Amino acid sequence: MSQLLSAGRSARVWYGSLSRRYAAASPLVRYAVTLAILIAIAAVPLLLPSLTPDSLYWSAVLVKLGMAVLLALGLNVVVGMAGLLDLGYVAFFAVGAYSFAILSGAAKFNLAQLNRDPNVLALIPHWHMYYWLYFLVGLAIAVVAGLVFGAPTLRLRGDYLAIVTLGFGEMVRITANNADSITVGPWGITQIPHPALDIGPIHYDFGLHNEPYFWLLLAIIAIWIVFLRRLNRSRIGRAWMAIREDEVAAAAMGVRTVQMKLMAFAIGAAVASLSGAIYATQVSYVSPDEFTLFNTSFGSITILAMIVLGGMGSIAGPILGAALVIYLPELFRQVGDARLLIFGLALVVVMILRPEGILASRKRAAELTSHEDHAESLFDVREATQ
Amino acid sequence: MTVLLQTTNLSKSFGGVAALSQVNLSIEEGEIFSVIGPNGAGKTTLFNLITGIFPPSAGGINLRTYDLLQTSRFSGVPMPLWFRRRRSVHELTRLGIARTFQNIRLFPEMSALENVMVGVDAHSRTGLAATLLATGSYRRELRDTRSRALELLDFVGIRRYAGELSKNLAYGDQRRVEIARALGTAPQLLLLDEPAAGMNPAEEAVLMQLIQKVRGSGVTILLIEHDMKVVMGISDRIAVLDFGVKIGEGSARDVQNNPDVIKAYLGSGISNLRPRSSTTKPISADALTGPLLEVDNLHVNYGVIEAVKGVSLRVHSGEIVALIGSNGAGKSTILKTISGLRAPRRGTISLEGKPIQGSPPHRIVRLGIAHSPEGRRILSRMTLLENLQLAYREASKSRPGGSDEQEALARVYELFPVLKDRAREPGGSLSGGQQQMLAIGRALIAKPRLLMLDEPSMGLAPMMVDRIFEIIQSINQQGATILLVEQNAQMALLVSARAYVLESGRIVVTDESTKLLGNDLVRRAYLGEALEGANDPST
Repeated sequence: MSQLLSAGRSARVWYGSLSRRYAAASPLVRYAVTLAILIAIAAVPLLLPSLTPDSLYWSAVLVKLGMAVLLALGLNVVVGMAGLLDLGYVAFFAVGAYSFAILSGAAKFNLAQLNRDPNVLALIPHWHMYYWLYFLVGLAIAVVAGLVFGAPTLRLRGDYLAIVTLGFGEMVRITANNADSITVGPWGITQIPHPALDIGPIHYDFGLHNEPYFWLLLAIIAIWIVFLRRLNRSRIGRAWMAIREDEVAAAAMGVRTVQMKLMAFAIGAAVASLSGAIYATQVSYVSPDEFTLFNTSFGSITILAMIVLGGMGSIAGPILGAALVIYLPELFRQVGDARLLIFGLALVVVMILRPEGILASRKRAAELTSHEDHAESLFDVREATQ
Repeated sequence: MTVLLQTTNLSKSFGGVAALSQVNLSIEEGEIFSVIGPNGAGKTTLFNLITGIFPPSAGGINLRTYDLLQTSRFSGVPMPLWFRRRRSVHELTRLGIARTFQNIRLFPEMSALENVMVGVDAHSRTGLAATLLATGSYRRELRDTRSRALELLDFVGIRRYAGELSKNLAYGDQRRVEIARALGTAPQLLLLDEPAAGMNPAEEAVLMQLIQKVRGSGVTILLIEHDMKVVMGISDRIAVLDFGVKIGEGSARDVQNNPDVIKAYLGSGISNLRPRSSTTKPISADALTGPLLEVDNLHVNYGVIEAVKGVSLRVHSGEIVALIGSNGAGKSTILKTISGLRAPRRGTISLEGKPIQGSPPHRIVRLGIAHSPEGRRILSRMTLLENLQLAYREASKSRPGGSDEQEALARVYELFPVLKDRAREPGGSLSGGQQQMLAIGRALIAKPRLLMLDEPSMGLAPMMVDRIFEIIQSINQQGATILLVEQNAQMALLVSARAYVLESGRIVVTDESTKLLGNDLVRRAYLGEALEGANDPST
């Protein structure tokens, strides 16, 4: 056990020195390194066949991981940065998935099927280029849902907020289950079209391949990380942290607390909805059963476990947490139903050994002294003036 | 001179108790205006009303021409009364009112620089879209905010700690970050709530210079402070509150000579405390049995920082032993380690020869060591009575509600009669002084063999400080052994038999208190570094 701990410690030190060196490098080097990392990650699904006989299976796991990372990075804004314990986050994932399923016409097709409509075959949905916009429409719907849920609940704090969001999460699932005429109820929506690209001579169908979904997710995650870093350093990120640390003091310093909390909630909802929409197009099927609290990949509690495990508030932490939460149960698949038990035990052990998460964001000071402009002067000022 | 802030017939009552009644103040631009008064006089309530934390029951507050209490629902459009709304706290901040808090409320996990940046952000305009796209104005504002925050840290003299997490800063430096953060909002009026609480005289001197400097930069200051030296030293005008009513106002001299004020606030002015001569020190049988508490070569770390570096001390039964030294010397850490709240890195702590280090706090309490922690730490949602009962039952294991318990409660009420009247009220509703009495009462209710008091006089009015020390002496005369940590070294030396002087985690002097009292060498050891710093606030 102690070996494991010291290995972990040296890995963290190594990671820390790497990220410091990255931050200290010139912008050109940083872009080059970032691009190289992205290309390396993007190449992973292509390399899988030469690594494992189960390449199809593992590339599906990669896609699932991509969705989970996006969710974890979204929830991290709400819980990790703004300190709002949201136990109903999967609701926004569901809103994204259902919005797309309904907008794409798949729900209409399924309803026609159920009603034994003679023209049902004409209603089978096909992908059109403008369907890409539905991702954004779903995002807008999720933002509205975030504001609607947020407005009455965000005046609550801590445990109370957690309980109410828990309720909202369940409400969305139950609504999807009962609003038959819109969501096809417990039957779920099938035949959701897979995306396709159709730009001039280029024609590419995502179909049942795993790679294109993975690349799409990777692109969104990369953009989102850039956004997160900007938010982190902006007045908005500081306001969130201030609210997390001491809401009364934050308000006394001029932070519009309600507005800022709503913003965190809405941004979290937007990110989750993107993940949900991609999920719907990949699996081609959504049903209320997917969006439960304890779903082993995307349940509200599962996503929360990712960021708690990886380390709240940082960017690398939730990614690592998502990787562990998705990967570990797959690893133990051969032991059947006991895998979740083993996974749970692993979680408990990690939390005992490192309660603040594996990669906690506690080096804010270091971050400040490294990659902001004229940062070095910070500590030299006094020597220079004396 | 124009009036900056005006309160008219300002009143506030909590559940029928009037905390403030009909208070009229007018604070002029550019002055340092202090509000003083005994504990529970309504000073903090006044602050909370001005900063919009809660609304007054009656009366008005104006900043220049702005009505601070309410505003039109549509900006700029005058509306009838029923179509107006309360101003929110952040809105008042933007109008130019900033504050610090009595019990420092920094953002602990953020660096000093980030803390101040949150203040400067009050006037930032960059929206979400500009932030995500990193537009030119976002970058410009980020740079400006940062350099303004650094300027302010420089102004309060702690630029060198800009990158430190604020929770890791020394107490006095945290106060300065708080002032810098408040200044970041570009206030017209700065409210300081007991900024000198817990400071030693040298730190107070630095603070007074800083307050003057802030005023010099064009900010009007409204100050609540117990420390008379600070208040009389820097205030242009002083208002005195007692039981929520303004009983006097004027210059320092006016107030000092106002008979009402003297009677209500300063009490008799003469402390009944007398230094105990070393001959009266009770020397009991423990000369044969050894000390009650023995700490040997104690080391305690906070992460990599060594807070206590090899401290050894003894407390004999029947003694009052004082532990004095400047902020950050390690006094509270020693008490916390004795009571099991912190684990020592090295060293032993023994009670009557039996080692107790490493035992959990609840077990140490049952062994008869009671701890009244710094900052009172009362259970604010439980009633006063419940606080006492809990402490008694946990420490004594006697039958709940039994006659022993009634007797114990009666003993506490005898020491602090005011607690009896408020027994059914939640701890959080008590005033600072009452909370302190409760904290002491809670610690001594089960007749501990060793009573450890951490800063029992912190934040109390002078009359109350005297009273607390009289009580400390009287419980000692009834047989309690006391280990006292106290910022007010003079008082601590007056009541104690022996004292240890701590400096940066080490004991530098120890002797009988009467010999330490007025000892120049000790004074220098105790205040030395800080005094040098007093001449140059930038270091």
